[in-house]
Amino acid sequence: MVDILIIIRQTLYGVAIGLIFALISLGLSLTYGKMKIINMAHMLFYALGAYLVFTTSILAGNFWYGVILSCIVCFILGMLSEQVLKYLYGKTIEYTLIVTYAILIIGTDVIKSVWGVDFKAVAPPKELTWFIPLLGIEFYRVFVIIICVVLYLSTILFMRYSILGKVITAFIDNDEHLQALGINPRTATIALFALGSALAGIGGALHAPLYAPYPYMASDLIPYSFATIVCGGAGSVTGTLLGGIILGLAYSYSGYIQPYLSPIVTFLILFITLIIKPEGILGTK
Amino acid sequence: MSSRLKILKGVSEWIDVIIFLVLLMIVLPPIIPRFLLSDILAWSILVYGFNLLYGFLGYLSFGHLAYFATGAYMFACSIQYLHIDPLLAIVLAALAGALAGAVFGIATVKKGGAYFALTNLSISVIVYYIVLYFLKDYTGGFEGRFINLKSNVIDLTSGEIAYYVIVTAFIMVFVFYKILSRSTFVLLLQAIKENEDRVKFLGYNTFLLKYLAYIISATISALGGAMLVLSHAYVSATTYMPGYNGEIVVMSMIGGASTLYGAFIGAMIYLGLKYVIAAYIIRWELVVGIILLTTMMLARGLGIWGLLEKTLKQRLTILLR
Repeated sequence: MVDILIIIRQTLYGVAIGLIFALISLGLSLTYGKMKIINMAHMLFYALGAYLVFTTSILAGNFWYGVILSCIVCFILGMLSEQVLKYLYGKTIEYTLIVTYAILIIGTDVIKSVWGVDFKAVAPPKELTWFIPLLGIEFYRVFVIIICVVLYLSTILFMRYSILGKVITAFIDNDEHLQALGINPRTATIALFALGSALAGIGGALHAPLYAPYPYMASDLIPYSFATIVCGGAGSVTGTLLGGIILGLAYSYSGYIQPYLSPIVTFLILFITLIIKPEGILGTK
Repeated sequence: MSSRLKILKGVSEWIDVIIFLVLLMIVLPPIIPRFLLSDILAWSILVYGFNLLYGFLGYLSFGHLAYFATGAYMFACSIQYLHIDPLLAIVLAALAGALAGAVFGIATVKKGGAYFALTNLSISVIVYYIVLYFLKDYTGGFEGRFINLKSNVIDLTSGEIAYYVIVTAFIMVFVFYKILSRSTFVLLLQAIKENEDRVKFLGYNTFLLKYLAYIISATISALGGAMLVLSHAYVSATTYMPGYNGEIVVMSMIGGASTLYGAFIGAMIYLGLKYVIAAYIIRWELVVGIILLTTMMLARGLGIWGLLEKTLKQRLTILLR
C-alpha cells in the first residue's frame, strides 16, 4: 500500500518536472531542429520568467500577475532576439553555439546586476499550497501538470489549426515551398522564436516556486534541456513532450533511491538514446 | 656546408619552441604571477587536447572537462592513497585519461556535430556527479583535498620547481602537437573533416583514425588536469562543473582552434582577462561575453591568432608579388 503511494508520488513529481522541461525546451527544439541553431540564450527566458514572478509576487503580492507578465515580456523579447539571431542562419553549428553562449553569459551577468547573486524564494499561490491527503504532495505540483498539459495541447492545436501555426508547421516542413507560396519565412521564424520564448518564460515562472531562482539557473538547466530535445527528437513537438516525461520520470525515480543518482541516470539515458538512435525517439533523419 | 644548413634549417623550424622556453622561463615570470602562469599552462594543455579534435577533425566536444577531471583525480588520489611519487603519478594520470578515452570513445566518435558534443556533455555530467558524490570519501567533493606533493626525486612542494615541471609538460605537449600537425595522421583527420566518405573510399578505416585521435586528445587533457592539481596542490570538484565546459570552447575559439599557438594564446587571453577584470570589476562575465562576441564577429571563427596569420599571409603575398 505504502509502496504504491510512493510510486504515485514519485510519478507525479516526475511528470511535473518533465512537463516543465518539455515546455521550456519546445522553442529550443524547434529552432534547433529546423534552423540548426544551438540557442543557449534561450534559457535566459526561463531565468527571466522565474525572476519576474519573484518580483511581482513581492511588489504586487500576486503570483498570477507574474506568470502573465513573464509570458508577455518573454514573447516580446523573443521577437527581438530573432533580430539578432537571424545573422546565425546557415552558419556552422559550433559558431552558433559560441555566439549564443556569449549572449548567455552577458545575460546572466545582467540578471546578476539587476536581482543580485543570492537565491530567491518564491511562494506558490496560497490557494494551491494545501497538501493532498495520503500522498503528502503539494497540490501546486498537480496544478503545474494540469497547466502544462493545457499549454502543450493548445500549442499543438495552434500549430495544426490556426493560420500562423500552419505557416510555422509548413516552414518546419519545407521552407522553400513556403517561400514559393509567397509567404515570407521570416514571419514563421519570428513567430517561432516568440512562441518558444513565451513558453520558456511560463515554464520558468511555474518552476520558480519549486526551485529557488538564482543567476546560474539558466546555465544549469541547459544540459537537461538538451537531453530532453535529443532524447525525444529535435524538431518534433510530441517528441519533446515524450523526451521530457521520460527524463522527468527517470529523474524522480532515481532521486528517490539516491538523491545524487538523478543527474547520472538522466544523462545515462541520453547517452544510451544517442548510441541506439542518434536522431531521437520520435526524430526523423 | 650542407650539414650546417640542415642544422640551421632545423633550428629555424623549431625556433618557436625556443621562443616559448625563453618566454616561460625568463620573460613572463616577473610580469605575470606564477600561479596564474601555471593555470594558463595547465588549461592550455587541455585546450591543445580539445583542439586536436576540434581544429583538425571539426568535432566539437562539449565535455572535455571529464578527462581533465579524470587526470586531476587520478593524480591526486594516487598520491594521497597509494603514496606514489608525484612524477610517476603524472604518467598514471595520463594513462587514466587514455583509458577513459578508449572506453568512452567507442560510443562518441561515431558521428560529429551535435551528437558528439552532447555525448561528451553527458560523459562530463556523469563523471562530475560520480566524483562529487559517489567517490566523495576519496575526492573530497566540493570541499576538496589538499595534496601532499612530497617527492623523493625533486621537491615539488616549492612552487618554483612545480612550475618548471609544468613548463616541461607544456613544452612536451607543444612539441608533440607540432610534430603531429605535420603528420599524415592529421592530414587524414582534416580529410575526414572535409568528406568522410571519400576517405573511406580511399581504403582507410575512418572510425579507427577518429578513435585514435580521441584517445590522444583524452590523454593530453588528463595530463593538463594533473598539471592543474600540481600547481594548486589542491583539488576540488567545483573546477570540473559541467557548465564550465563552455570555457574550453571559449579559450579555443579566442585563440583559433586550427592554429598551432591558438590554444596557448586563447588560454592566456581568457584567464588573464578573467583574473585582471575580476580584480577590478565584479561583473567580469559581462566583459568576457562582449569580448567573445566581438572576436567571433570579427575573426569569424578563425580566432585571434588565425586572423593574424591570415592577414600576415595576405600582406606577404602582396609584398612578394
